[in-house]
Amino acid sequence: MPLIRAVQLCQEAERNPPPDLSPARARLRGAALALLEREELAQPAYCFRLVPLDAPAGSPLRAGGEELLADRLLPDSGELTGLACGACTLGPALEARIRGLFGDRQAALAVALDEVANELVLALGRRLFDRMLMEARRRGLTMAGELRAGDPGLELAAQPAVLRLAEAARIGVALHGGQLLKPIKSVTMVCGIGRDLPASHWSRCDECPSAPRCRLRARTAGASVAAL
Amino acid sequence: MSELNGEEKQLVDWLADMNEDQALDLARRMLLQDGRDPLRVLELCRMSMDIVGKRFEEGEYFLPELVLAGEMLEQVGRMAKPLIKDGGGAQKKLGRVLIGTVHGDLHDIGKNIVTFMLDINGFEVKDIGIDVPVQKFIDEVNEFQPDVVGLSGFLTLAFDSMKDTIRGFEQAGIRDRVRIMIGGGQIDETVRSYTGADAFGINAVEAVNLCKRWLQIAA
Repeated sequence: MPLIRAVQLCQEAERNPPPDLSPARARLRGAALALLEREELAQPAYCFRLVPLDAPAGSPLRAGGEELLADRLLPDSGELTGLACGACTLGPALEARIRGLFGDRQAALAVALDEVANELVLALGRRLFDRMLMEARRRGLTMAGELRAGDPGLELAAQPAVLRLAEAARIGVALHGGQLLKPIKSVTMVCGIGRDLPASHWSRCDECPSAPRCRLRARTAGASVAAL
Repeated sequence: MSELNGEEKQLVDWLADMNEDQALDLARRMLLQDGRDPLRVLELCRMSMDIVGKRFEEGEYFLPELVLAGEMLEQVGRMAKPLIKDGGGAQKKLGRVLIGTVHGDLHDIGKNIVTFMLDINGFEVKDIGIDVPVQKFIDEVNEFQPDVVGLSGFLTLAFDSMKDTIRGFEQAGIRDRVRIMIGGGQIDETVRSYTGADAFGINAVEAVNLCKRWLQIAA
């Protein structure tokens, strides 16, 4: 199983704190990161597969014996030949510790630990994406688009198929009841792979109702402006 | 805050500015060394919480500050309450709130925050956990006799579970005994109407204010 060490994710988080943190929040964030490292609460793992299409690209997409309604992955040009399906997780210890902190009435530290865990799972998701991209390139393919079950463009009901395609059971990621990933701090994704795929002109964030108050988006926009 | 003396103003400022160590040291000294009226110290805490709440509403503070302020308030309260005469140590609760995450959803961070904030605001809260079946909610309502029930859920799928739960209350004949608030994720008026809840809250402050309004307690 490919390995990403928790300490690398923590170091990345330490190097890149969210902007405009108040002193109190910075202190809590530091305490949460220290707790996370000291108790080894994050056990990051990821897995992915590049799955060839079973039939020429169309709606639905057929790959690995599964059907996905993911029309956004159909390219304007080039040839879609397969799907890159991945999953990653921080493991179950974090959510148990967060729950325990609430039980111990350390709510502020619990909230800070949850926030840090969200940062880490986002960072882990980016690394998963990068590794899928590297593998696609190694095979002489291009990769475009990124969908996550529940986003506009891929129904949440597709989650079981995505997990099967990614073979997420290898890293202990499974579904609980209503399509909810367990452990909670887990992410799945599906990208299109093929020949000469154009860069996608959409983002999974475009229609997100949380976009106006999304700090990650604001941060990215700020970085883009700064780069100009 | 013109009626505050220098020390009192300092405590309010330190609490509102999240200077935890200084604020708690000062509160401890005022209560345990200087023999200040514990009710007055708690009043100062309330003033600081008002400032924190305002800064939260204005977007200057976020959830972590709100929760940290709650923790500081709780710590000062723990120091002050044994010093309050006439049984003040066992303060009467404002009302009962039953809260849980509906079936099919395992998210509990929002529920835990609301539970904590309700508790430090004087409510008796019973948290029955995550992925709670409809029948469990009904049984707990019958046993705990809450004034308010909070249904939490993060996933859009939770909206159906909330609706199921409220329909279950109707079928069990207990719907009229409680007010129901929902929260978590992308809740809005459309979802409230769909589920049949009485109100929705988009954060812990709104949940506390809803409960206070329903129980006719001055916010």
